[in-house]
Amino acid sequence: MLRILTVCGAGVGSSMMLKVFTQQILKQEQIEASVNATDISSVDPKSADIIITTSDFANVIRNSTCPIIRIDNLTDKVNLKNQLLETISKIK
Amino acid sequence: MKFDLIKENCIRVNVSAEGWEDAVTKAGNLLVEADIVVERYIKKMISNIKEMGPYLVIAPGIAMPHARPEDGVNESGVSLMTLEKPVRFGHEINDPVSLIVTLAAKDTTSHIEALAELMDLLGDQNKVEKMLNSKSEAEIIEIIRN
Repeated sequence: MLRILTVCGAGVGSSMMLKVFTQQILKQEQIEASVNATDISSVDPKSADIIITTSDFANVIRNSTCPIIRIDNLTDKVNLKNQLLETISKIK
Repeated sequence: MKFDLIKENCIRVNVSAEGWEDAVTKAGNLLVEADIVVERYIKKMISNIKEMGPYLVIAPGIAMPHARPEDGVNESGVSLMTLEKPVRFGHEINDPVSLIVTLAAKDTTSHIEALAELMDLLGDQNKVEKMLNSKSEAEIIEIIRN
């Protein structure tokens, strides 16, 4: 199953929001995936197929081989959906 | 809104703040006064921003400062504050900020649905615009409840 990791500084704010929106989008599109929120200090890029985070953290997670989706406006669900579906289609 | 994460006594309009640190402190104080967090939570929010950068500026004009549950949270809650004059956090795209939404989460799971609802509110540009133009706390409460 597809593993998606949402990442932010504390693991309770932005990453949680990204997790909620990601789950909503996946449900709508009937895509099965696990979505976990975590904080930047405990992120393990190997445990994910896709990482979703904000630009400043994307720059920190450099040793990752999986695609990283950068989100600068966390309330923009349409942008997240477009980027997420595009990334998933590239992986498959 | 179904979940009353935003506390009515934690809403303020047109607050004057000298810089982001002052704005975060004032917004955090609303949560302290309502017994939602203890004072140390504010210091932690500020040090998080200093250490990890301005990622808390989650959308154009909107900052959502927060720390972790173990940093002194009594119960989950959100304060909402509009600024008389916008402040800069140093975010490349989303500065300057006029709306400070301070988040306190009691744990990492129970606030998820309420957070989703909050995000829908903040993603509604029409409502955000109305909140920013509100001249009283009652006006903001009206926007949130409808």
